[in-house]
Amino acid sequence: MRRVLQTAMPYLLLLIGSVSISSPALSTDKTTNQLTVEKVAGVFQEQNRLIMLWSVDCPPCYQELAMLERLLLSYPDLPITLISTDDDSERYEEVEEQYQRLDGNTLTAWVFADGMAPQLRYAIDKTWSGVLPRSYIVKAGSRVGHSGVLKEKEVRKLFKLPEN
Amino acid sequence: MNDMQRYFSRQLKTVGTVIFFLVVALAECTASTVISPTARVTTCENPSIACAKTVTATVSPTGRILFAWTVDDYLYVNYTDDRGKTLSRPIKVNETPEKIAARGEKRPNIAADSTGNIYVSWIKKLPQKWTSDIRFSWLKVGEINFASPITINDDAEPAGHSFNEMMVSDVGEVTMVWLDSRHSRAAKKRGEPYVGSSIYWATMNPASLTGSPKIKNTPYVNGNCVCCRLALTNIETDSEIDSETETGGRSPVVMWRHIFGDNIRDHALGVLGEPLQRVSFEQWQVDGCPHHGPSISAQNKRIHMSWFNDAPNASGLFYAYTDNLGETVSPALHFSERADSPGHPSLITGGDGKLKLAWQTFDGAQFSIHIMTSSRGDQWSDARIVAQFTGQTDYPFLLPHPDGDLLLWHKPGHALTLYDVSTYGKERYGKTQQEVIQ
Repeated sequence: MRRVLQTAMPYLLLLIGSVSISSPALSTDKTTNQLTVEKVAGVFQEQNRLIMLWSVDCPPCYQELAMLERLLLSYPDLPITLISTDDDSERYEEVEEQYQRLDGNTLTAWVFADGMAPQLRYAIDKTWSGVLPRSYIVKAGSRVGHSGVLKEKEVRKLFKLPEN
Repeated sequence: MNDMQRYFSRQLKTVGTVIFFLVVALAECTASTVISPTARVTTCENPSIACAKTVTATVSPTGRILFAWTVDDYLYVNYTDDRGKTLSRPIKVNETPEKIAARGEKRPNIAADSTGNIYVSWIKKLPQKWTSDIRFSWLKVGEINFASPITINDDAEPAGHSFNEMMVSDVGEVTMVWLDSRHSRAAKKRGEPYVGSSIYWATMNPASLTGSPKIKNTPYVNGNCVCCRLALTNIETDSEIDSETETGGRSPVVMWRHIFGDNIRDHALGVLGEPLQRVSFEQWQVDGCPHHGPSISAQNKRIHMSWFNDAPNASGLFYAYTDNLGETVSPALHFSERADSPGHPSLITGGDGKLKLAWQTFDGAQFSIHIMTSSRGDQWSDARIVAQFTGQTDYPFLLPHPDGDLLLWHKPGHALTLYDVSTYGKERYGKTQQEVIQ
């Protein structure tokens, strides 16, 4: 992981300094940000981003989201994409509730389309077993995956932010 | 005999044959129509098993196959006495709607005893995030309605109680085990660290319960993974059988994903109330939710185990057995690799006394169900694909049956499908055997 962070850092620094995020703000419309297989390539095409996958059924994911929420208070423009793997329209309201907590930041937020979790997991990374939270650093046309909760110090280091 | 059986005769038919196995399919909401094994159900006007997201099944000592499934906050039970050719009309378990967990591994449980009593348990979701109750009801043979549901967990504060597993002895002694977050929530309130969750268990005989009973909950272990299913069976022991209660002679054994050391997510096994033994050693280190739980089956005094792990050099599905409750474990057989996106092993000792192991793989578009067989676990047949499907599927479950083992593989929105997998083992076992390897 350390090697990944070191490699990604120059790109992320560049991004933080010069790129304005063109992604939409979080939407309250439950249908607009559903991730389909067709959209995966586009989501992972955007370079120099941290992509974090989570679920309402994953308590450790909320540790990561709470950390992110704290960090975004000071750094609202971090280039981060959140993807909820809850591919059940009955759970979208819970997903939206979480995204509302992060509203006002320039995050990109997605939720798996209804009933499509296996296909989407495979499209994102066929070696990903479904363990959550899962994150990817996307840079230079490739991505590096990490399973488990990202610690705040790791994210700070990744984005070259001062230590807390 | 009871209302279910009277309804039974009104319900219908459909048998389909596929290349390697017999497939029987039925959908109650289109009951008078012949349905192909993958026929999509277009309407769900009545409570229909076809429209449930998950279906759980059990086989009674007489060979009756019982199903538990949920639609619109109600739990339903129905059954078949002819291996799926016809299904009984469903009976509603809870008269008052409840938010019943029925996705993935969080699903209702069902069991039956030799008398014909039917037992169900489920998770009732509560308003606060990650809080839920373990609920229980039973249908006494000869009665029309299930008993009023009771809550099994005995803690006063809302907490998480989930991934319930249940088994019932021939004389109606119910054993339940579940993941319980009461200790972790209490620790959090006190501002103290707490690793993982806890396992609790309870035993009871519903026939002796009256009113609104409080069921004694017994803590078992702490520090287990918070989001993987448990596996429960019972095993022959040397204890004597009590002639009055007809208990003894068998002990409940549970297997689960534990957290060893610094977030090593390997598996543990133990007789409820006795020390745990570590039984898997892939060393998967992750601070997260694997969402993959194990499967076990007892064969006399041998316990067979299958599980998923995702360590860098040991990823996929594994099998091993133990003859001494985990004190020593056979070398693990790594039978499905990460590249196949494998998951959800289902391991049974079949109606013929032999082992069957089923699991699913996914190639990006299509799910496949694989099965391999063994006499005692030392050697296994080659694996064979017995079913494939493109679309939404539930997990595969093998059902040991006295007239030949079955595979339940539900596809939400489609007619319920049972696959006869009994002939596979007889024809194939012994032709190509795979050594159990380290």
